[in-house]
Amino acid sequence: MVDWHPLKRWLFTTNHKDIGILYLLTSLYFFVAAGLLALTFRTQLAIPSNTFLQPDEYNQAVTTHGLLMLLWVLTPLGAAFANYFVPIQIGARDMAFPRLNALSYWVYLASGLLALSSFLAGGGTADWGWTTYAPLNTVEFSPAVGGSMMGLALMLLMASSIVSTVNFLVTIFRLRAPGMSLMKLPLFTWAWIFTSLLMLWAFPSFVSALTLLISDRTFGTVFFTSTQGGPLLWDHMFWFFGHPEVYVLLLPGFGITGDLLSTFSRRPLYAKKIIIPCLAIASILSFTVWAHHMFMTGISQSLLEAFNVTTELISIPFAIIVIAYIFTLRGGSIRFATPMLFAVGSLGLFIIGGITGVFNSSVALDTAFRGTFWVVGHFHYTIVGGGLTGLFGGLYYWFPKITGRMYSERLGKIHFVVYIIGFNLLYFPMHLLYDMPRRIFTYDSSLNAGFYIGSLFVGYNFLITIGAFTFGISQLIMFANLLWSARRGPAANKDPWGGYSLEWGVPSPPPEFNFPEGVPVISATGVTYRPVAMADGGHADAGYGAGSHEEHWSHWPIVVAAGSGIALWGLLMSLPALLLGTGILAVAFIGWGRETLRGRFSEPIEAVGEKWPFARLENVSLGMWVFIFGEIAFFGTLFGAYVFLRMNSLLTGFVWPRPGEVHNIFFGGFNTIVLLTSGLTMVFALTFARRGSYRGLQGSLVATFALGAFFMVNKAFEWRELFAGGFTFSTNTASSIYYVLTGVHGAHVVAGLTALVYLMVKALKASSTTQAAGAVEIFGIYWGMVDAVWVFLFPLLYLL
Amino acid sequence: MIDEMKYAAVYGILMLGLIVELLIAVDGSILGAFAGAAILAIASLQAFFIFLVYMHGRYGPRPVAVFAAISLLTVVPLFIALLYSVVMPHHGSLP
Repeated sequence: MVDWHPLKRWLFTTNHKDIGILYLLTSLYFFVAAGLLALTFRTQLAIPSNTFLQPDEYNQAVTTHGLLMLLWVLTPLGAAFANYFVPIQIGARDMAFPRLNALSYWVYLASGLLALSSFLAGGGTADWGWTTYAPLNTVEFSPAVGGSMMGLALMLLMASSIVSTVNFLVTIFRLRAPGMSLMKLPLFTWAWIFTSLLMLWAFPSFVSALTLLISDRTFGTVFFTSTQGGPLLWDHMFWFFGHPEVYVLLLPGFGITGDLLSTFSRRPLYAKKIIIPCLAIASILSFTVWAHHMFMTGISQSLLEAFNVTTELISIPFAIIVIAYIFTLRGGSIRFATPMLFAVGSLGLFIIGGITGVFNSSVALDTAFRGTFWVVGHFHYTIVGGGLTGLFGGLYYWFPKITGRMYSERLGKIHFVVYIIGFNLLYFPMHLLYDMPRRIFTYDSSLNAGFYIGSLFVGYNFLITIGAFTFGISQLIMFANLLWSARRGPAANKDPWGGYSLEWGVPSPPPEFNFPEGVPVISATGVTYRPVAMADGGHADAGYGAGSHEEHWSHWPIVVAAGSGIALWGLLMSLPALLLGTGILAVAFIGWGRETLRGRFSEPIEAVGEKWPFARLENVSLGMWVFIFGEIAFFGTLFGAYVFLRMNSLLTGFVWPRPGEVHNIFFGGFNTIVLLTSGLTMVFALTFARRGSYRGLQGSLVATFALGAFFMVNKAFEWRELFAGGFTFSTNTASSIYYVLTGVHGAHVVAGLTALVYLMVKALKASSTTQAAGAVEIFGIYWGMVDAVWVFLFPLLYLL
Repeated sequence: MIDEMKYAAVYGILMLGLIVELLIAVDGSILGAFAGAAILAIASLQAFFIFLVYMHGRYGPRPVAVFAAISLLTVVPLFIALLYSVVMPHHGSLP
C-alpha cells in the first residue's frame, strides 16, 4: 500500500513554512536552469568568431537566462525566506491568507514551466533580450509563438507576485504579536515590507506593458509598431517597472546581510532607526530614476538632467546604509561562520556595484558605457553581489532552523572562497570591456581585448568564461553540502548563532504553528510566552493551540494554477487545451467557493496583537484595499500610455478621432449611467445587510448583477458596431487603446459579476444578513473601484 | 436612513457631473481651451466621491486614504516623463 500522505501534504499544503520550502526548491531549480544557459552563452563568447551557438540560439539563451534569473530565481528566493520566516519573525502562526499563499506558489511554478516550455513551442522562445525592447518584441522581428508564450508566462508570474504582495502586507500589518511594534521588526522583515510595496506598485505597470505587447502580438493592435507608440512607449512602461525591480531583487538580500552582520558581530544593528527611513527613501526614489536606462533614446534634455540628479540622489540612502553596516562591525566580537562570510562578501561586492552605478547616472559617461559589457558588469555586481550573495548568506544562516541540522562549515567556507574567486573572475573583467557591445553573439579578434602573460595572450572574454564555470562549480559545492547535511548533518539546537529574532526562540525545525509555548509577547525586557487568554483577553482562545496540518489543506490552489497554465498554453497552441484549462479553472473556482461556504477550510487563529496603522480594518478588507492600490498603478500606467499616444499623435501627424466621430457619446453616457447606478445598488446592498433586511440585500445584489451584465451587453454591442464600421484593433492607435482600455475594464466587470454570483449564494446560505455584510462590504470596495476607473475612461474615450 | 441619503446624494452628484461633462463635450465653446481640463476635473471629483463614500464604508479613512494617495503619487512621475518625452523637443533620434 503506497502512503500518499507525504505527497498530498506537499501538494495541498497551505502552511507558510511548507510553501517557503517549495519556493526555495523551485527557485533553486530555476537557478540551475538559468545558470546552465549562462554557461552555454559564455562558452560561445569565450573566443572570437565562435560557432558553438547560432545567433538565434544565443539570443534565446541570453533572454531566458535574464528573465529566469531576475524573475523566477532572485525574487522567489527572497519570497522563500519571507514565506518561511516573516510570519515567525512577527510572531504569527501563518500568513493572513494561507490558501492565497499556496495559490501564489503554484501559479509561480506554472508560470515558470510555461516559460521553459516556450522553448518547445516551435521556432524557439523569446529572443529579444530580457528588456523585451520594442520593436524587437513585435511579431515582425520575433514571429515565434514562443515569444508570446514567454509574455503570457510573465503575466502569470506577475499575477502570482501581486497576490503574494497583498498577502505579505496584510500579514505584516495585521498579524504582529503583542508588543511587536513596527520598529522592533528585524531588518529582513522591514526589507520585505519595502520589497512588497515596490512589487505592489511596480509589477502592475509591467502587467500593463505586457497587456499592450500581447495585444499587439495576438490581436494585431499597433502600440509598438506605430510611430505614436513605438520603442519609446515600451521603454517608459518597461523601465518604470524595471528599475524598482532592481530593488525588489536587492532589498531582501540586503536586509538579510544587515541581520547577519548584527548577529555575527554580536552587536545591535548600528543606526537601525536611520537604516529603515533610508530603505523607505530609496524605495520612493526608485520610482523616479528609471529613465537613466533611456539616456540614449532621444528623450528631452530636461528629462536627462532630472533623471541624472535623481539617480545620483538614490546612491545617498544606500551609502548611509552601507556605512551603518560597517559601523555595526566596529568593536564587535566577530565570528566568521559561513553566513557572515557571505554577508561581508555581499557588502563588498555591492559597494563595487554601487560605485560603478554612480558612473552610469552621469549622462556623459552613460553615453559611452550604454550597451557595453561595463553595464553588464555593474548590474551583476549589484544584483548578484548585493542580492544573491546576501540570500546565500541567509540560506546558510537559516538552514539549521529549516532542517534541524547543521551544514558542513568547512564546505561552506570552501564554497565562499570559490564563489568569490569565480564571481570576480566572471564580472570584474566586464568593466574592462567597456567598449565591447553587449548584445552580440560573437565578435572578431579586433574586439578581443585582453592582456599578455609572457607571450600568452589571455582575452578578457576567455577569462570571464573561466570565471563563469568557476562560479558554477562553486554552486555545486553548496548543493552537495546542503543536500548531504539535510540528511546527515549533526542536529542543530534552536539557536546555533545567538540570533535575536523570534525564529531563534522556537525549536529547529519549528513546529506546525510555530509557537508551542503560547503567544509570544514582546516587551522591553525580552520575549515571554503566555497562554492566549492572558495575552489577548481571551479573544482568540478557541482553537489557538489546537488543529492539525490536514485541517489547513486545500486542493484548489494547485488546480487553479494548473488550469491557468493549461489555458494560457492552449490560448497559443491548441483550442482543446484552452477549453480544458478554462474548464479546470471554472471547476476550481466553484470548488474554492464551496470549500469556503461550507467551512471546510479553516485558517489558523491568530492572537490579537499589534495592528497599527490598520487596526480598524479586517484582514480581508485590507487585502482588498492593497489589491486596489496595485490596480491604481495598473490603470495609471495604461492611462499614461493613452496620454503618450494621444500627445504623440500631435507630433506625428496622426489625427485623433474627434468626439462623436467614431463613438456615440450618448450611448457611452447611457452605459455610464448603467454602471454608476450599479454602484448605488451595491452600497444599498451593504446598508440592507447591516440592517438585517434579507429581501433588500438580495434585491440590491440582483440589481447590481443585472446592471453590470447590462453594461457588458451594451459594451459587446458597441464593439460589434465599431468593428462593422471598420474601427478594429489594428485600425490605428486610437482604436488599439480604446479596445485595450475597455477590454481590461470589461474583464474587471466580468470578474466582479462572477464574485457577485458567489456573494448571492453566500447571502442565501447565511443564517443572518449581518453575517454576509462583511463580504458585501469588501466586494463593494472592488465594485467602487470598477466605477471609479470608468468615470475616467468615459471622458477619455468618448468626450475628449 | 442617513446612509441611504448619503449614497443617493453622491449618486446625484455623479449624475450631475456626467450631465455637465456631456454638455461641455457637445458644446466645447463654453469653456474654450479649458473644456478638456474641466471634463477631467469633473471625472476626478466623481472618482473622489466614489472613493470617499461608496468605497470607504465604515472605516476610518486616514490610513487607507494615505496609502491610496501614495499609490496615485507613484504613477505621477511616469505621467510627467511620458508627457515630457513627447512635448519637449527631442535632441536625438530613436535607436
